[in-house]
Order: sequence, then structure tokens, then C-alpha cells
Amino acid sequence: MMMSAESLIPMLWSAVTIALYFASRRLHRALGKWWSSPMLVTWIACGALILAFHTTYQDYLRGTGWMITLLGPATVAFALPIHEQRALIRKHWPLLVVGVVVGSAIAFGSSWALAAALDLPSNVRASLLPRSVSTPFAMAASAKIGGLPELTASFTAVTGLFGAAVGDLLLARLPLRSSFARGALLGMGAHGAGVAKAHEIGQEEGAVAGLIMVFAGLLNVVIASFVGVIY
Amino acid sequence: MEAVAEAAEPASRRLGLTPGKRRFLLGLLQIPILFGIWWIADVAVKAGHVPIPGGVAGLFLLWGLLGTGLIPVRWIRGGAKHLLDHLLLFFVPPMLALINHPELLGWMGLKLLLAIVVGVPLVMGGTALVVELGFRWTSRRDDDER
Repeated sequence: MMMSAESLIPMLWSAVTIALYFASRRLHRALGKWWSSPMLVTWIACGALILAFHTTYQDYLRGTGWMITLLGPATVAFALPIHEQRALIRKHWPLLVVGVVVGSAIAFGSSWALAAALDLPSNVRASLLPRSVSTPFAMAASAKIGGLPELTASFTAVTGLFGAAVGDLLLARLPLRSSFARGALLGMGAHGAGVAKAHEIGQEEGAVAGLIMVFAGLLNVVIASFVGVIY
Repeated sequence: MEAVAEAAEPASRRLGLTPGKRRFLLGLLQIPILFGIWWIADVAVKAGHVPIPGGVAGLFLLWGLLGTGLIPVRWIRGGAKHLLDHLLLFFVPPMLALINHPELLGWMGLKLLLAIVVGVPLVMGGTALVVELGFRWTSRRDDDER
């Protein structure tokens, strides 16, 4: 069966995105700066190519939509770190609960207050609320409370990038003696990027950050789901 | 599922693959297992009108399956690591939706940036201080008991 050139173009965008992603990972390994983050580089490079070729986002998505489908199984995969850290959870669950509940409350409250003070439209405001948790959870929560999940993906990315950059400054200034507090700071404030940073600091920081991130994601989605039903 | 994962082992050895490559391929073969769990959970929440998304329900399902030992960790570890390692690749396409929102590149974009720049340190500082206080309180209590 012959495939027309036109039907191949969407698949080409998948290949371009994946190639840029792996190239930017290599670049980041070589440079190691916050601005060389593979997420930022792939995002900007892909965006520049789409604009340069006058492709519409709908056409780009036709070729790459299957990647978004993988966010479902990837969310399921978060059960692995939870299972592997079950000893830590059993021993320190009250601290984890406190961190996740307080962190999520501050994240929701501050986002809501700032968005109201800055007079942002309601769908943008709803997209901003769940941005402190890992992207697949944030997008799912956003969809439930009337936000635009694709905008939430971008806000979450900026949160992670900025959080990883500012995390070092805060860690240096706050009087934190426990690896728990350091892990909670990074996992709650900068989700995936923060967890990566926490693993650089220490094993326990990394494990705590990872757990805080996943549980905050779960709490956000579950609350957003039930809020969505009430509305 | 186990048959697939285990049949792949001697086959890959015959092909003369290095242990690293073998682990990589085994991980790829495990992704369909995670896909299957997500699919079952997604169908179940939709049929039961449960408001939570399929991915989150699938996470709880897999957590339970691993905890009870119904699924051994080695069946899914490689696949889960692949998906989590490359998570950011999967949300590059939704992030590019920004192209459809030129209004965010102007004044509103600056406001959003301001909300994030002010919000992030609040979340970080607040969470860390509360956890630190909780930690000191519980470790003092533990000392008293000792």
C-alpha cells in the first residue's frame, strides 16, 4: 500500500519531537545549566520549527497525540516509587501527610489569591491552580475544575523550571536541619525538576521529594475530581 | 504476560545482547502491561461513573497489586522506569498548545509569570518550615520516650 506524502507529515513531527528530545538530553548532560533543561530546549526548538514551517498546532497534534496517550500509563507507573518506598511511608507517614496537605493548601491558596489579585480570566485561573504537582496529575486536575489542561502543562513546566532554580537559594537560607524538610521543599515546590535536584542532594531527600510529589498529585486530582462533580 | 517477559530473556541472550540492552528491551516489553492496567482502570471508572481519571485509578490498582504480590515488581519495574524517565517527552505536545494562545505572550503572560514567581517560594518555604517543625516535634517526642 502506498502512503501519500501528506499522511506521512504528521508522523514526521513525532520523529522530529523525539529526535529533539534525545538531542537536548545530550546537550543538557554536556552543559548542566538550568536553561539547558531538556524540557525547555525541546519546547522552544519544537515551537520554533512549527512556526517556521507554518504548521498549525492541530496538524502537529495529529502526529504527536499518541504521546499524550502515554501520560495515562505513565501515571500508573508512579505506583513503582510508592511501592519501593513503602518502608519510609510506613515509618514517616504523618510527616508526609502534613507536607502534602499544607503544601497543596498553600499552592492552591496562593495561586487563587494571586490570580484574583492580577484579575486573570476564570479558565486561566483554573489552569493555574494545580500547577505545583507533576504534569500528568496537574493536567488531569485542571480538566476537572474547568481549566485548559494544555495551558496547565505550560504553567507546570515554568513552575518546575523556576522552582528548581530558586530551590537552591531557599535551601541555603532556611534553617532546615532535616532531610525531610529539604525533600518536601523541592518535591512540593518544583515537582519533577525538584525531585531530580533532591536526588543530587541525598538519597533520603530524593525519596521524600518523590513521595511528596506523587501524593500531592494524587491529592490534587482527587480533590479536583470531587470539586468538579459538585460544580 | 510473564511468559512474554521470560521468553524474551533467553532469546535476547542468544542474540548476544549486553545486559544493559537486554534490560532496556525487557523494559519496553513491560510497557504494554502498564498500558493494560491503565486501560482496565479507565474502563472501570467510566463504567462505574467514578469521577477520578483512569490513570490515577490505575495507579491505585497497581499499588494494590504490587502490595499484595499479585504482580511481582520485576514484571513492571523496567517499563515503569522507562515511562517515568521520559515523562517530559509525553507532555511536550500539550505544552506546545501555547502556539494557539498568542494572548499569553503579552501582558497576561507577564501576570502569569508574576503569579508563579511569587507563588513558588511561598509553597516551598511554607511546606519546608511546617515539615521541619513536625520533624523536630516528633523527634523530641521520640527522645522523651527513650
